[in-house]
Amino acid sequence: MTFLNRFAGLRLYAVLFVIFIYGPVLLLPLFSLDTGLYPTFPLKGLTLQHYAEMAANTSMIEALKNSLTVAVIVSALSTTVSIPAALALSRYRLPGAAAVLGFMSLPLLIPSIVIAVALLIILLKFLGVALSLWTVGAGHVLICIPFCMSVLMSRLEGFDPSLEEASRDLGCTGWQTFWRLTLPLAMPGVISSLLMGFVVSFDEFVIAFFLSGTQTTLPIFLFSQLRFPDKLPGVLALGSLILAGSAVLVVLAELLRRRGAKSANPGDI
Amino acid sequence: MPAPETTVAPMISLRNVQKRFGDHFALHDISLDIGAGEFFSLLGPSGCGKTTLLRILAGIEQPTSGSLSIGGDAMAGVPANRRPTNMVFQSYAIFPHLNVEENIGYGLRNMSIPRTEAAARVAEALALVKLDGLGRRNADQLSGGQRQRVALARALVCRPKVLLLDEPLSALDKNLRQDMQSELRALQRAVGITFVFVTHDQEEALAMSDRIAVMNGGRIEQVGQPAEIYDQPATAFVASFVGTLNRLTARVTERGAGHLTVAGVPLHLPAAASGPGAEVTLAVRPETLRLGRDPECDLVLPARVVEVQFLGSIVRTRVDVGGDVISLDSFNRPGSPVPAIGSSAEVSLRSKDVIVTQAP
Repeated sequence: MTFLNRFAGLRLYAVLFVIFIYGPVLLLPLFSLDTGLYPTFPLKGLTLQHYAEMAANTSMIEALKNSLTVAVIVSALSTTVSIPAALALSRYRLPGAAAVLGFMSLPLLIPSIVIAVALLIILLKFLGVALSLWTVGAGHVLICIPFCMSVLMSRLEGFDPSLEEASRDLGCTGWQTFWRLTLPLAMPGVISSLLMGFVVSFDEFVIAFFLSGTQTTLPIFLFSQLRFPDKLPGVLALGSLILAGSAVLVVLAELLRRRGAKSANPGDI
Repeated sequence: MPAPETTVAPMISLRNVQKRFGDHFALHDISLDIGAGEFFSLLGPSGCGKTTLLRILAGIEQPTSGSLSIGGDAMAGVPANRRPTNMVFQSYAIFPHLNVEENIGYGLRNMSIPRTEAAARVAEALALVKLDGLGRRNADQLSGGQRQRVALARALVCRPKVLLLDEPLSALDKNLRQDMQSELRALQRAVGITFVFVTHDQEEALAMSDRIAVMNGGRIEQVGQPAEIYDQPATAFVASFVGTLNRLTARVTERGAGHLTVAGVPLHLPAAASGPGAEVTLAVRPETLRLGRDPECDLVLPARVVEVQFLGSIVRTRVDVGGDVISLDSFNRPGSPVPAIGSSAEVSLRSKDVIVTQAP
């Protein structure tokens, strides 16, 4: 009896936990379909009008395009620079490897406002670079690298080291081994790293706020729109679409991860 | 089988090779010649340096000092990918993202061989290791024995001068292992390539090799044909590592003359004359001992039966001789009864079969 009660209690806890995490997010698509101007209950009626408004809002679409462009370039760039670094750190016993890894993880620990201010000073005072989407991207690469590194390293460390030795033994140079063996095997990690970089950059507010010039990214645009109540339903509609998009991405990434996990222990018999 | 002549143009020649990892010497001063077409085994317990030596031959590790030549060419500064060697790894290292054919053809793509010829060689290699028809299988659909064959085919298809095998049979179950031993031996004869085979299994080394190097603690203890290694072990380590060895304690009765007693029975062994102490250890192979009184033997020791293992065709009897428990094998013949535990018995042997090792 006590066991059953405890079991029921855990089940209730689990349900509340899920509601706590996902409830607020799920309100977004709900209100985006409501005819009312303000997001309150009871709902007034069903409409797709806000989605039409959203599509007609050219400056919002422009901000979305900026964000997507920056996120795609940032994720490609930070993954590309992280692959050799992750290989070096996971394959060779480098002097000071721990220190290098520690420094690379610093952007995770330093508040992004500090990084943003520091970058702003460097860009304007020392380099004399005008603020633009490029400067936003540069800042984002900095904070994406630790995420990409950790994803890639965990994938690369799972390899049987004799696979690369076998490739060398069969006549491949180091470079050929990388293209024919290491990269294909690391591909699930590379894709996770690309997704991770994309999400981190797409979502980032503080650095983008400091480093963007006249062109804004989506988070900054949305923040500026909150001053106009009549713009809110369009924001909700866009938010719902992004939510649906990221749900698809997460499912894809998970499917890839599972496919990768199956081949993660190639030496097993 | 006669061992190939190794004095003319060895395929592999190692001179004073040392390997140090930090303060630890993995290999001390190894000098060794391996002849062309030889099946050569490196035998020793784990940590004896046999795998390190194999990896130095492959070019995966570099020696700290000393020189190495393969096929007459000095290998200093030649990386693994440009050496005339190929290796079968202990884990097999089958590439998981490629199918069987792609695995086997992996090395051929670096050789600028026409596509059709490469395909023909892959098919030939598949047939050689009896995997015909499995070319399209994925790596994860293969059994342990099949993986081993793929690894073998992948190395042989490159037609190396030397094939290096790192304990390739250790992951297989016992029956498969014995089948593979004779198959590997037959394969080596068919292709005529020099095989260097690393193993910790002395039976495997004895059964397969033309010659064996027994290694211990980074040194080579003895190099020789299987029968030499087994019958005339050069050191106490070789004697105890290769084959089962019984130890008997003997008291020295006349120092310097080789007169001893074992379990109260006197015997004369000139080899024991140099022993400094009051006791020496005698080593005896189980198959040189006979249960009962044998007219061909000059030495008969009193014994008591302590354990009998019935193994089918062989009966292994453990007997107590003057406080030392030794084992001896006899064939199970219909009509000859299995000895009873606790009964007294006699053990016969010839004094020339006794190996004198250092006193403890």
